Amino acid sequence: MTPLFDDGADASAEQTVAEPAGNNASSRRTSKKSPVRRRPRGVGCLSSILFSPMFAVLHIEDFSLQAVLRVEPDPVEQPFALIDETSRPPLVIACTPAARAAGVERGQTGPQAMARCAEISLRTARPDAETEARASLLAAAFSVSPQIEYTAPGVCTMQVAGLAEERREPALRAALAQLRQLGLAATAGLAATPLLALYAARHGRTRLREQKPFTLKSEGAGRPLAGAMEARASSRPASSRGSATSSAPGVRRNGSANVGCELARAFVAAEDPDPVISRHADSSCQMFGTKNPRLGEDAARDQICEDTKTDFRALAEQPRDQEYLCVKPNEAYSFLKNLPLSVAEPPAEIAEILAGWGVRTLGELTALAKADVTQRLGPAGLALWERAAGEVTRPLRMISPPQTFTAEMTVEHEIETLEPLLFLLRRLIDRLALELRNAGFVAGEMMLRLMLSDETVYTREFRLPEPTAREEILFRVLHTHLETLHTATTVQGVSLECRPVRPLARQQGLFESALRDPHGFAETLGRVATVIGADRVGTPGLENTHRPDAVVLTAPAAVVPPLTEGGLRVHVRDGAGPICRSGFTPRCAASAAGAEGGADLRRDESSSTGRQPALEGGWLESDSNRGVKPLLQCQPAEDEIFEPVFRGLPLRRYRPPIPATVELSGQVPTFVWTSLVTGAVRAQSGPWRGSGDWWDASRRWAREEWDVELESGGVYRLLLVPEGWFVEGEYD
Amino acid sequence: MSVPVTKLSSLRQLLAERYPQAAPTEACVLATGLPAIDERIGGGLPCGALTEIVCAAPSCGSQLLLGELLRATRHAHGRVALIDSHDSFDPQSWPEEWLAHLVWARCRDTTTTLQVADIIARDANFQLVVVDLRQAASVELRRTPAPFWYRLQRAIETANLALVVFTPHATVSSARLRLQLNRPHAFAALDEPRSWNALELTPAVQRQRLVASA
Repeated sequence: MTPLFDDGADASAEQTVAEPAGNNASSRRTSKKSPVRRRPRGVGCLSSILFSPMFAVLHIEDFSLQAVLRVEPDPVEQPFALIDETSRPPLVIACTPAARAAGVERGQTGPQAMARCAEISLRTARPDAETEARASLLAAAFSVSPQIEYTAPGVCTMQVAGLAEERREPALRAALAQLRQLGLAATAGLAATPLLALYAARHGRTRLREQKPFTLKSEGAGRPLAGAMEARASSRPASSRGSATSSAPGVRRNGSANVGCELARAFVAAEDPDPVISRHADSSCQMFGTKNPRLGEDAARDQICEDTKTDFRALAEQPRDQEYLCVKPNEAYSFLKNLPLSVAEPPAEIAEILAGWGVRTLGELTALAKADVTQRLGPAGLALWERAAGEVTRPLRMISPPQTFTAEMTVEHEIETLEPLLFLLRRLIDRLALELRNAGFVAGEMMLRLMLSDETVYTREFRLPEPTAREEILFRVLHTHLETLHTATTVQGVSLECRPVRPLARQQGLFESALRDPHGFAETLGRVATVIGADRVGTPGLENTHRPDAVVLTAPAAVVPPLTEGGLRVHVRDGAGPICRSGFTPRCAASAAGAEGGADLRRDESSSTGRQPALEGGWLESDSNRGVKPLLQCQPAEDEIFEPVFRGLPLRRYRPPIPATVELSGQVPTFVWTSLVTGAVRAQSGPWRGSGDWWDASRRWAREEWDVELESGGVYRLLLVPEGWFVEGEYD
Repeated sequence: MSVPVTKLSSLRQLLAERYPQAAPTEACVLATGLPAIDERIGGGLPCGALTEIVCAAPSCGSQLLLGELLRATRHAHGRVALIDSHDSFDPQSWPEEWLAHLVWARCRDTTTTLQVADIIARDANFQLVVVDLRQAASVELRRTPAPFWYRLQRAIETANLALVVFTPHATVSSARLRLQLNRPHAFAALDEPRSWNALELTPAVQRQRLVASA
């Protein structure tokens, strides 16, 4: 064979590709004239790719299987296989390395797989899991660029022209790390065209495994593949070769379960000790094997294909430099030339013709003149040539980022315990948090729905103390709640919704008391609430009434406002002595009480003690919040300094009041018997009568109080109500 | 151990030299705002340690002291948690503004009180945690294992909070400071300004473990 072109650089390029004698004319439109002139390498091919890489692709191998397994907390070592239920009989379309090691292969039926591996767990493709995995992939992609195309299941193409060149690789590596966190092992490629970036993402890992430059020369010029195949085949036992023949052919693919089958995934590197070949490659290899004796050993090839399938579980542990590849313009030819022809997805007819010509790799195809290929193979050949050259570019079909932040998942096996539920929720939260961050939002509220097996739905809303998009905090909120949740039945599905808000951008006041860790604070309150009840923890507030013990608990404020002027007034005048002891005169108290309009405060003048009422500042001092006229509006007596001041001792209240037996002398208590204290009364004051809400029969109250000091020590408050005598509390 | 340890002080010194990070250092204190108390205990309640206040007499002023602590922490822009074992705190005895920074846990028994204390003591948002076991039954307090108090002590050692436990009798084995309120207020105290009554609080110092300087 006489070479038509001699580029003088590549020995393999000096060959002339001749039409094999036995090639059949299976196509009417394509010509089989041969030989075709070779063109010099680098001339024409990729000549149009002179711009810098501006397309990136994130690629998830075995997308359907990863989507299913990422939501299952089972150990990685357990053998799994994904079955295509639409095929008859259902066939294995993907499996884990553990299953593969046990002899499970693609194309086997379920019983065949179980016969080879008794421990295998068979799974079917789950659309909701794939939807969730798709959303995770998009969320990671949107963290790189806003111009995103969901090219195919497990493939996302991004236009990164707007990203500074030096930031592209770090951004893609960060996206890969995010996907790892989301339970998806992915690879990334960066190149000048979407197609080239896809090739890089899919096949860069193996290429990088070679640890050789792309310009490596093939051993045995013209027969790199055969050499490699023969070497591998000769090293394998005959039994294993035979067992591999049933792998790829016949596998039906449907929907997203056949990730990557629409585009070719396989290639064999010339000297790759661990090449990766996919199902398309399998069929191509088989074809080659039957048509081209040089390439024979289809059984061995299939075995290699099966043995070297991309291990996505191992991808998670692979060195980080094997998950990303940037194909620079001057490296494109070197990258492409050894990729198998099947990567460019040749039509079957053309593939057969090219196989007859001995064209096996993209480099061998693009070594041919484009015009000659077009002349002989027609438009399909031209398109194939362009695909092989990686020149094909196209506008991306952009998708917009999500407007709502929801995630929903059903489970294959009903959840009975907390652990698997938390595992599932963590996956959802990680994705939602990433989406929120991408959109510049934080979660202000969360809504959790648990779909139970009795067809009821448990719903719970969480209002976050401080909006955040940190997944750890969001997860902690759910975890704290779910720890104490007991459902009547098992959980079939879970739904989570984050309501986005803009991040808070407010400077704290200098004198405000803000929380150091708002989320930790909320978690603490939640845990306390689970112990004693949510209605029994909070910040006490006084109700707008004079009713005794009228207290409400409110949620603690995130920021406590600074004190007002009189809040912490020092009760010392000029630092010399105490203030006027009649800071609250009975007149003022009556005025304040009268402002309420419902309470009555009277001192029984018949009392023998003649002691002034002990004004409990709790309800006399209070500000307008309680509807009481501000005390400073009261007119102080002359030569008195009027200042809000409490008198007496605070009350340690007994809830409920302790029933008491009281001995009276006239109307005055003289002896007290209770379960807590007993003794003679040394001193007393009272009665202090109060009543209120007289217009409301259900809330009406009236009471009489006595303050007593017992001989044995201690000052107590006695309470007389229609039910009898009680000890209401101890002045402490 | 090359140097023979003959005295407890030398053992402490040896441990402090060998494990400097574990040695307690001079911690900050939380002033009560009552000079009679602060001067006697070195400026205030120790932070990162337990303080036990034994209420040995009725009407001895434990709520009064609690109110002063509320006032002091409000002034210091801190947060306070009150874990009330028998739901005896009376908010109406205090101005509402003094309660804005308070988290009140209304427990029903001693067991839940200790559970809640164990949770809240680990929160970094509080400057003061008050556990009111004043009305707890003695038998329940005796039943509380001593390791619980040491665990509580360990929980707050790294935090900057003061933990105060009101008890009817000495209970907290790990307390660094133990005060005793043993003088009941007289009936006339009901007529006095509350600040006067607070100033008259003079608890006896039963225990004060000094901390070695760093």
